[in-house]
Amino acid sequence: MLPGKPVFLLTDILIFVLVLGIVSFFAYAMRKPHLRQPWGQVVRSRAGVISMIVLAVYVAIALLDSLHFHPVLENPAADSTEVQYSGEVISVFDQLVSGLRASTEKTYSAPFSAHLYAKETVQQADGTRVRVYPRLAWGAAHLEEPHTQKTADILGLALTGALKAILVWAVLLVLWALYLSARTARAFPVAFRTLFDGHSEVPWRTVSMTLGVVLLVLMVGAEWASKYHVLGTDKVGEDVLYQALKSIRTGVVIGTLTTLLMVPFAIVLGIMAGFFRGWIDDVIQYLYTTLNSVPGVLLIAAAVLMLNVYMSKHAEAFASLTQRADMRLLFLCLILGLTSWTGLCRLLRAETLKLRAVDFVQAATAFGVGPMQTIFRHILPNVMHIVLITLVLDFSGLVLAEAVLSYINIGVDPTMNSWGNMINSARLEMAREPIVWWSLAASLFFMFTLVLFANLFADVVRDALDPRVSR
Amino acid sequence: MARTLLQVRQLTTEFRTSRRTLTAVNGISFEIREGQTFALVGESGSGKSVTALSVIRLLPEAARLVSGSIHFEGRDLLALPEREMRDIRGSGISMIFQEPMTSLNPVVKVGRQITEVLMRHQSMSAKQARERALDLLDAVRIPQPSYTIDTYAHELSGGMKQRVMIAIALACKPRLLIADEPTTALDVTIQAQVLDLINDLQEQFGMAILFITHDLAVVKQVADHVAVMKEGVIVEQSSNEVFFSAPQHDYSWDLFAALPAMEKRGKPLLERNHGSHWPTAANTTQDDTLQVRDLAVYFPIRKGLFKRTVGHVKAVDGVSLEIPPGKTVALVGESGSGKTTVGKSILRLIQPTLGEVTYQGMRLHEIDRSQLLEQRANLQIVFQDPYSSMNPRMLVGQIIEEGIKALNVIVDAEARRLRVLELLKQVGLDKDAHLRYPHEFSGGQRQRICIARALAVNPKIIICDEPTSALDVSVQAQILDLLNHLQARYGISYLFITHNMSVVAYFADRVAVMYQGRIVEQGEVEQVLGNPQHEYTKRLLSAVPRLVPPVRAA
Repeated sequence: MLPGKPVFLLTDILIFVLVLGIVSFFAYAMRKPHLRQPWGQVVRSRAGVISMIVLAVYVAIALLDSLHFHPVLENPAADSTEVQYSGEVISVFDQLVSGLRASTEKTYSAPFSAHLYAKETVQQADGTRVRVYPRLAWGAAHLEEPHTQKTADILGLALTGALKAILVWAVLLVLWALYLSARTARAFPVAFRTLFDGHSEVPWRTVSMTLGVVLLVLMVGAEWASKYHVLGTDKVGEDVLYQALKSIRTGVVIGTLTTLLMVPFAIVLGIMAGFFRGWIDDVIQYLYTTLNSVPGVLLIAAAVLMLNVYMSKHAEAFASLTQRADMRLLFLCLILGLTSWTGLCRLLRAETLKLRAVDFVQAATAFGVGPMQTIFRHILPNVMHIVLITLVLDFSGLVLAEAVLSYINIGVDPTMNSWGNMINSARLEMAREPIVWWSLAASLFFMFTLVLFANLFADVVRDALDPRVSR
Repeated sequence: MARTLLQVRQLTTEFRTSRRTLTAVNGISFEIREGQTFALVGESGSGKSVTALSVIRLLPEAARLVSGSIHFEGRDLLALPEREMRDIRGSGISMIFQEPMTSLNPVVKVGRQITEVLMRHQSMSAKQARERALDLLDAVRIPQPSYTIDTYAHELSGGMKQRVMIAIALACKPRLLIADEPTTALDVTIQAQVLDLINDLQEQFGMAILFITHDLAVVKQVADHVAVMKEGVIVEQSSNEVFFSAPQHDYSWDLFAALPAMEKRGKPLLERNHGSHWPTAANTTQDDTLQVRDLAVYFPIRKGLFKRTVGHVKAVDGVSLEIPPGKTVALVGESGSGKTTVGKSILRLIQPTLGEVTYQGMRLHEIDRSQLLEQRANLQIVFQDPYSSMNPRMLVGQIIEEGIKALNVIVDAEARRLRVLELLKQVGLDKDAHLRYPHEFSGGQRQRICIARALAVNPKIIICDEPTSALDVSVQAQILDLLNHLQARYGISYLFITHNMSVVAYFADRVAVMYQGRIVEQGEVEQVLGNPQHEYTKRLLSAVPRLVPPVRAA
């Protein structure tokens, strides 16, 4: 259980509803051969499994970061016997990386550095004052002589991390091979070999190699992060790695919730327009053409500014800063969704127009099947592949959109960790002398990895689901 | 005797997918002599087209030429580098395809498409090439070549496009023309003209033709030499005279047997199907005849900002016919004549503009929804394309059940399941078919499922919209036998929409000939086919290639 009183933020609830939806969709799809077949193709492709593993790491972090609670107060007021909770809201993920969260420095420090990035005047024991780069409170604090010991220490930690990774990896592979041998009724050594020989239908060798690399990165990173600021610290001394990791949730939430909010609009309006034609079609078409001709950024800026005004007037409606930031995030998803449903709607309208004239829909009409039933039984299942492809393709675009919007200050709340906010603050750091490059580099690296693998995954999904791509 | 032009020896071509290898052409050998027309006949999937593509070395990526040799004018085509092969294509061997709609580039004027070839292969100047292109268009009998040369493909009709394709193919005076089903997509009157044209051009240019088709009647008309392909193997090769009087192979006999013809009326085409004769006819007590009076369907042409109607396309313009119980009425005509629109507007799938359809004393176009629902059970439809007529996301059982459920024919779920199994048996499918998806079935089997779906609600009349035109002859024979069998057993009437005159001759009782939205002639089959009155019917019938199947000695 959570070590404290749970808090349910709106985005938390929605994201878990989404996870539940995806899980139940796959449970359903596994029982239907025509639905299972294309996903089988995804699992059989190398790019598919690699990107799925990497995305799974991101999603796991995002989900852990979506379980929020008020932690128990360490030093409750003396006269109280009841458990008291802190007013601050943290997540399970924060709890897991509490070391990183707590280890703040005074100001900037470079990655793996033992010293601050700025000189300070320090009074020595004999009363003289010197201008030096002072030692960090936390980063590399265990070393007596950082200049001579640091390299060896970093390598030593990397080795420990690698050993741990190999250990975990081996255990996982053995367990998996045991499962495979039980399921396929093959001897254990045979099953173990299929994980490496590269001849199996599902590319197990790719899976095990990717898993190995991911574990290595995670374990070595964890070892380093326990003693150093791997990606340095920012202006107020916060660990940049921690910020970048916290930003994952923001990115994933924007990428998924926006589509979740937009899909119902797109499906309902698109299918209605295509199926009923006539004035309904006209109204819906005018609606999306009008919406499309207003610049999206303008609409988003206006909506966010309106929300800001509302929130400053009704400050009492929000229990904490976190809730306030969360509200703003959700609102951003909503407004991004409102401006982006038109593309999918147009696609669905066109496809419905086509399907409506197809023989099996005509046959249903000849049987007197009503319009609602026709839509649910014949149209909707046959346009679902378009919806899925759009969802996956849009994801990376939305993650990038968040970065752009936060950069021009109409994105998520400034108190919320996000790649866009990190890039925004890096604007000034890049102009500083000597230059502070690590905030920008960290956010770009994390965002790039997510978007790259999301795009790879989208390509595989499109190839598998799009009937126009020949198999 | 003329010299050998093309010699194919032991040609084997395979398709490789990650799962399995499929041998499309399996060790075939043949020779084509100069000036000869060599016909390659077979059903879909027999490897005809793959053979042609192997010869011209244009196989799709997944295909591989495994073994064999191809010699053209003594040169080994398989040993030539791609550069030289490009010169052979066009000036030595050229090809015309089945679908004229997609073979021409829609954004380049047709003249450019011809001159391009001339300038590439014969190094002509633009001016010379244009002169020559005009000559070619004239040679393929395009009226007003000087006008046509500057048009785009979409401005031409299907027959015209195919002529332009032929002109392009002939541009460099090839020694061998490969014609892959060149007339299959065309109407029968246009087909006759194009076949004539190819025949004349062959004499004029002195070239050989590799003619690929599935239509035995066309083969009889054009070929000097015939080769029958089945599952990648040539099972029989002989001259036209020998093949059409005394074929050697059993498969050739099967092909002839499956052909519908006037002479076979009343007998099943394939003996193995439902026994050698029909079951005793069920007595049809109701004498309800479907009456169609002055039916008209106009599609408005809308223009401008407010979509004002500026005119109408008269797809159907005053059609009257009747469908007596237990009889088959054929509706024939060329593509675009409005046949399908008539069928769909009888069912109210398209709302007619004028006219009325009466059945059992009810005017089908005026009754309200609940009455219409009752009538929906009486009138059903089977579509042309067995691939698009079933929802790919539903099980066959659900597809057949849909009508029973929607019209509340059987309320009890278990009884409904039994009815589905019974229907599957009636159309000759395994009973486990109901738990499978449509894509697991072949075209003929899918058409059977569609028939079962229509039968499910016990209809009195089924509108069959070209149900066999997408199928091979042997499968067509099975479906026709099945329809005959069901008619005899349940007294169902058919409105059989088709363009195939031999199917009409074999299958229909009455026939109505449609031309440009109107019925120009109708009557008993023997009378209309034997003694046509209207000019158009005469033209249509004379265009149909004649074929009297050989009779097998007992």
